[in-house]
Amino acid sequence: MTALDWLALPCFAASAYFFLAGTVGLLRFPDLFTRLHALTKADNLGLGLAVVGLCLRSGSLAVSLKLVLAWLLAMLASSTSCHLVSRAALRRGLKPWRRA
Amino acid sequence: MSQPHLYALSGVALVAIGLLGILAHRHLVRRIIGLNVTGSGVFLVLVALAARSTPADPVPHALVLTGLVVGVSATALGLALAVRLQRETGGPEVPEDGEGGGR
Amino acid sequence: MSPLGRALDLVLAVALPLVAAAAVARRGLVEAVMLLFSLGVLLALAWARLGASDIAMVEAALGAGVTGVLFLTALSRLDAAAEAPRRSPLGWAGLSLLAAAAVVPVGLAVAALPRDFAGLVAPVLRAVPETGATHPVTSVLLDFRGYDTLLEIAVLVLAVLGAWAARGRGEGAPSRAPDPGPLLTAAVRVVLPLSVVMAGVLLWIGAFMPGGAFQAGTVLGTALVLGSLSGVVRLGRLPAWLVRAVLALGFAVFLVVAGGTAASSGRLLDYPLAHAAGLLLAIEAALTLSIALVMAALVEGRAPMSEPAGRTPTDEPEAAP
Repeated sequence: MTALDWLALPCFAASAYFFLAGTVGLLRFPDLFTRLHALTKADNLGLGLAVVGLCLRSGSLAVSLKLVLAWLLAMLASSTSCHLVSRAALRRGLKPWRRA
Repeated sequence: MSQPHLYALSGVALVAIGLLGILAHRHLVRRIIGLNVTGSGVFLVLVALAARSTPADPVPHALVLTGLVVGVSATALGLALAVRLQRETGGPEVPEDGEGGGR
Repeated sequence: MSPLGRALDLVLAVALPLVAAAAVARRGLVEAVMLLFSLGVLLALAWARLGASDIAMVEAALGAGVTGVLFLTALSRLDAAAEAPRRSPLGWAGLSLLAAAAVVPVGLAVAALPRDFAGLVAPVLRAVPETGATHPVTSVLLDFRGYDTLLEIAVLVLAVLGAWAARGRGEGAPSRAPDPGPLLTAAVRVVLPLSVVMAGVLLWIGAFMPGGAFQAGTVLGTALVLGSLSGVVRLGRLPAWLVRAVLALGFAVFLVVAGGTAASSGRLLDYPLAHAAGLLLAIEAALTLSIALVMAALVEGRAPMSEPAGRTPTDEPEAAP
């Protein structure tokens, strides 16, 4: 493994951790809004770290730029859909969870 | 088990599961879901078997490509018909035998 | 094959039937539909693992995109409360056995197939230089099996006509005006031009890389769907003749070229080598536009009306071809 591979390894490990954290949040958080928060934030960061790791391993500027573009578009899509879902839930009268 | 065989058997499982979905439900949308699953299983078998060659056999790839697009159109048509059926008969289910029109 | 690759394949191959079973057996209809989209995303991964880049692109756009919109739109028009009582567990078990019995012979036959198989790779690769493209899948789609693709485009147009006919005059619930909000509108204004450029790139590179009419058409189609859902693109405002013309364009161009080749050389779709690349590009461009509009029309659902008001029902029998 080259030096770049050794650099990429912690990126992938961190990315896996963030995805795991987001999924645990999805399963354990009490209501829609907190789950959206966990999922969107953690998944964006996890994807970004995975992209960094892949860029390190790709060895090509063109591929790296395409990967970064994919990450930016994924962030755009996930934040937009998060906003739409929470807005729809609020309009339907879903109240955010409060500690009882 | 080689990679193609693994995915091909997974595809066969998908065909069975989709078939189960078509048989077990009466709601048309659930049947369309089952149809989609079966179709995906067939595509998976085709592409997995094509992966046995190097480079991958392009003919099944082309077949599956057209199949995917046609499958989406068929799903759209099926859903439009299901919506229309509900508008005409009040429920998204094909009537049982004896209710006026067989399956 | 690296051990991690094997592990990924194993996880995918096991996850696919599990997600499919959940989609089929899930009690809530909306959840079942969501699981179907997840199946589409996993399938896109499987296509990538199996080296089918063309298919992975189309599956990602259609399986989780257009299919999702179609199902959710249909569910919103259906009466959600009307669900027939489910079968008993015994009924499920019996039907499972039936489905398994029908499929087990196929499974055994598949498992018994040889590990390596030459298939049609060698003949296709030998003949690819005679076509207008260098990417084998494109050559197969538009040249060797061009007849299938021609008929498939006709099937797509027929599906749109059928969906329009099924929708009828649309006496059902009027579709809500789109209320996108600032974030979606801004996002669409970024994504839509990007998708158009992407579709153009995919169309061009289809001759020598994974890409082509279907990939470009589905990317453009999902962009149109996104635009129409968010209100940025108003498909209902397009003149009816334009919608019908673009829908028919792909099939028409392909048919004209096919007829031309049949008339000039006696063999259907035998492109003259000097013009093959240009003909292929022309056909693919027309196909891209048609496929994109087919996707948008299927989601939109309502046929374009040339005169919205003042049309009496008695006009229809004469108008029908």
